[in-house]
Amino acid sequence: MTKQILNEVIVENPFQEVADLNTLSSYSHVIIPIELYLEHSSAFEQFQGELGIRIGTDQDLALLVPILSKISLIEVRYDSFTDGRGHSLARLLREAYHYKGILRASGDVFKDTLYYLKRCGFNAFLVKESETLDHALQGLNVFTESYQAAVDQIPLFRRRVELLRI
Amino acid sequence: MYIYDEIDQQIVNERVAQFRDQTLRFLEGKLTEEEFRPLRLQNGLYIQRHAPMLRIAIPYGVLSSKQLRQLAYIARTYDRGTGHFTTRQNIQFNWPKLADVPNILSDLADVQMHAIQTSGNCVRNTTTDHFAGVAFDEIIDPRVYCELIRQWSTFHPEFAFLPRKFKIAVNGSREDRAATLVHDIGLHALLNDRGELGFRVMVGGGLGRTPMIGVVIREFLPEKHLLSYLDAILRIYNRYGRRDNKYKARIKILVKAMTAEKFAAAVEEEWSRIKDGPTTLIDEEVKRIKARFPEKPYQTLAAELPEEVKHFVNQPHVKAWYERNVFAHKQPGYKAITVSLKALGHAPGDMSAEQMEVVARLAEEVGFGDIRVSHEQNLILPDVPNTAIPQVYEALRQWGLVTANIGLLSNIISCPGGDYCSLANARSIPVAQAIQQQFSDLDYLYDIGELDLNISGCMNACGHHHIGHIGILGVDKHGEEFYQITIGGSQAPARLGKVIGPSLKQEDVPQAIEALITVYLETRESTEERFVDVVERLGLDPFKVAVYGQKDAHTEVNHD
Repeated sequence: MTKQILNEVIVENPFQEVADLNTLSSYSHVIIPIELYLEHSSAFEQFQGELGIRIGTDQDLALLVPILSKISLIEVRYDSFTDGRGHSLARLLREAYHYKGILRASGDVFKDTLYYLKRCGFNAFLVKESETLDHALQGLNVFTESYQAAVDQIPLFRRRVELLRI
Repeated sequence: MYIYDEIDQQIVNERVAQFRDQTLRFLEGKLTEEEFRPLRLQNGLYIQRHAPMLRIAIPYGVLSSKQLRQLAYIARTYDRGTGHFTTRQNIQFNWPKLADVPNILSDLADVQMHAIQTSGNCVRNTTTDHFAGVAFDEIIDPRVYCELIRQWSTFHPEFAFLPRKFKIAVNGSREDRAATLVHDIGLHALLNDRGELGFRVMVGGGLGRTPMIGVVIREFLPEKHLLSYLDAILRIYNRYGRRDNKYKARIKILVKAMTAEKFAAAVEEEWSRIKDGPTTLIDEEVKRIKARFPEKPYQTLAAELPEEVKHFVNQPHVKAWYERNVFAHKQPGYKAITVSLKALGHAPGDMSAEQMEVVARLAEEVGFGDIRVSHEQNLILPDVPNTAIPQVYEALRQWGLVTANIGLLSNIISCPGGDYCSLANARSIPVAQAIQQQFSDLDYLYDIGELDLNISGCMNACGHHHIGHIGILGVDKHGEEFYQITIGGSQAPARLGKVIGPSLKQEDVPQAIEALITVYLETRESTEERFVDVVERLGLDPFKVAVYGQKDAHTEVNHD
């Protein structure tokens, strides 16, 4: 089984790819691209295990929002870490649609990209081949404080007085 | 300047440590060029023709004496003793070594400075009026709102990787001295009929390859909603701006494609979800930021110039300088003085370490250690008591900083051009110098009157050529440098210049400018009518004929 970072620790990644839909019931955790889900939605609706959906950074949320209650993992695949659309998607999923499941970034993910991703609501990471999970983990908290509001924090200006008193 | 508290300081210190780690990993081959490039750009570091170029942020153009001295130290230690002030109120160094950059950033952090987001596809340094806080026609002091925006945009996790760079300008005065209409977002402070502060919000302005004037998407945004509304605009742009073609990736293209009405509606819808959330400004924060700009203990002075100063500024060699380079102050008995970086024979915006130290010392001696950088690439001493004008003049004169050309033709705005910049198609500085040479006679310059001449070495338009009364753009034709001339542009009110004809060789440019000026001088109705007014009144034709002759004036113009 591969490993991932989940809630700031390195753990097993239980979500597996499915080669043959007829064997679906034998899995406890699966991850599939959203296109496959939309094509075979009835098969997946009967699935008893944990379901993960993979989307791109340009995903139309109108297709994803109706099924949020059925899934326990959303993976946003970054072809390039400089594609900031995924960051907005993550915040919208957390803040506008109140998605509480695992939100995972994959693809062009490495140490230097984790801090912003985490602040936008990602709590799981699969890193690129040239990176190790141990090394990437150090990138999660490179800054102690941040100025603006995001998924993890209200703005500094609402906390500042309290922080400086300590 | 805004004085950091320990949290602000910790954030820049942690950035230095982060960039040191990234640079080291790159030098050890552990980060690829493809990975390192966006990371170093977000620290203002370009790889250029001769060496890396480092662009350092001067937030909204405000500097202290101590900071300017540190820039002089950096110029001397890591560069060849010179810095280049840019049209976005920043400073660039053209000769640092990559391995030295973390140390430079650390030296900057010691004086509460940084290079954060001075390049890359993120929210850049917010710019404003270079007379902010001292201008006689000010509605609000825009520095407070610029600092709020600086903090909001610094390491904004959602908007670090936008489709393209993003520039915000804030104007707090009646006259727009911040060119807000040619920025991705322009904010214009105003008071409503109940005396409450708000901002007119304009989006989609910009120069570059497709110059456009910004459009108003909200007439009055109450102060407390400033940051959440910016979040909404940026989110629409981040999600829907084009990423397939970098020349079509700026927000202006999105606004045009959607139409301003639909873009505004999308912003309002997004905003309705986050409005009144935690990002809503609180009065305590506005007050806190105001309080971190040190109070200036102005003396009570007579508004009139003292007799001996009046006598001093009326001397023939001082008069022009006093008229052009000295600006009215909101405090009676004080003036804001422009330190000209446009001396004949020098690259516009360049300043030596020695000159920086002289200005830093003067700012402390006569003012309160406050210095401004203007987008016209000059420095400003914002608080000079009338009695100190002779002393300031003499000190600046010794160092070649009193060129009396503010607002005149030889106050050329220019990018560094092909001598330094790897993006440029053509050189800018030799053209600027050739024009300054052609128009070195001050009496003649005076007679010509107010004229903005702006030069860019390529389509990226760092020299703001579109809004120059005369604009010059370097273009590449089969490997040769040519220059395209536009006339009739203006910064306030914002208006884009029009191309007069086929581009010219470098050696023909000064002559062409002379021809344009001759038409102007022969056709103006009075000395009150400026060059740009005559272009407006007569159109391009007489100017075309003067430059190209009767026959060639109507040939097809190739814009690329």
